[in-house]
Amino acid sequence: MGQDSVVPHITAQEQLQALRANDETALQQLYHANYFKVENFVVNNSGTPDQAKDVFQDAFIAVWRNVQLGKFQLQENASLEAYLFQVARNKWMDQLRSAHHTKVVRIDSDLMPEAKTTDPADSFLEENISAVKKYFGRLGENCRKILTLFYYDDASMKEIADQMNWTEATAKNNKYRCIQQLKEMLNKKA
Amino acid sequence: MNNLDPIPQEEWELIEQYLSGNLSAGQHYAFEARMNSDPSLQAKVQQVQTIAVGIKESALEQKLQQFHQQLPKRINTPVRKNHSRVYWLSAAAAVALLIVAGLFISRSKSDGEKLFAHYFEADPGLATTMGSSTGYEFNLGMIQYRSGKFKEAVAVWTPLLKERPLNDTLNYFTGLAFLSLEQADSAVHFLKQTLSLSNTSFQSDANWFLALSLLKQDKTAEAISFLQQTKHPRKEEILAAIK
Repeated sequence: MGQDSVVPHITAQEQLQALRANDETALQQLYHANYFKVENFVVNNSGTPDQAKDVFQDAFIAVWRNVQLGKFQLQENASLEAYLFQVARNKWMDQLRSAHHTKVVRIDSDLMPEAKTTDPADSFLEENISAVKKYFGRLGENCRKILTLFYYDDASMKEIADQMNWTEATAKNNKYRCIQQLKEMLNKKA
Repeated sequence: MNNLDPIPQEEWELIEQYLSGNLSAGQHYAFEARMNSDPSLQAKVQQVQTIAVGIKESALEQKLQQFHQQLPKRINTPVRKNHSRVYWLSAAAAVALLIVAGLFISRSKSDGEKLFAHYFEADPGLATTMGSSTGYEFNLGMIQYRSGKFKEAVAVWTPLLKERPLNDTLNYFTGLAFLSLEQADSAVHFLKQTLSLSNTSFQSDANWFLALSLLKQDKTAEAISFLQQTKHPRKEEILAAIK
């Protein structure tokens, strides 16, 4: 059985914790151990490897985000891998369905009640997060660097200060200033 | 994101410490008590969290591209355990039979069927794998399969598949049994089912046998697409033969 043949090196709880901490090895392992399953599924269901890559990365980020936001509780006997595959599969099925929709049933598409199935709170959060991502890309290089170090790599202010040749106080102030710049862009857009 | 409340630096840092679990138990408790009575603090916490997650995601997206480039070419040749000599002999006998049968049939057959007959060697089967309660029955089927009694194997496995339609081992060997029975349609069905399942260690082999089943049906183009996904040692050879 497939489930038997994959021997996890770490427990599911440890894996979840590693993911929450953006442990690079754990992330890469999760990616590498699951990508081809999804690619097979997509390719066997009228998709291309490029589409498989997009679907898989979307699913990966969605799973990761739920872990970050503490929305994902590990059920007994459930694995993160199975969850990831399920999310990717659903995303691909949705995509196939909506491709069909636009081609076949466009005329009465607003009569389709099942079109909106996402939780409004979730889609609000999703919108905000993608706005943050968009404007983050427009920040200066230093801002992107220190914010990434702080939020993604979980570096301390001391470590960041050392890397940038700043004092710790300067690092703290600069980080706050970068956040303010980001918020300003977000507010202007609103 | 509408109307982001201004958050002074000290408060911003306090919220971050709360979110990352870096407050002392007392501080943490006090912070939550405040949050419960102050909706504007809740909104601020949400704001900090949204921005933090957005920044992390931006970084993660870069990483994912990197992970993608580092993917191994293809994964998972299944690891087979301990085939004893008896299994090999019976498998070899089954294979020999099939090849002889194949040679007979291959006259007056289409190109695809000739290729199939030339390249098809039955998977020898597994020693024992299933530890669960289904295991006993599965193994009974496997014994039939190994001694070349494919019909009997299918008869044992079909009811099991109803209980466990998502079991890759069952799907894979049922597909192979059908293939040995020359029922390529059913073989295609179960092998595709196998490939759609997560965690399957039969990936490379299922792709190989699926391609052979399709060749048998003269669906050459589709067969090629699956051949490209196998790691079977005769992959290049058969691809060349198709051309």
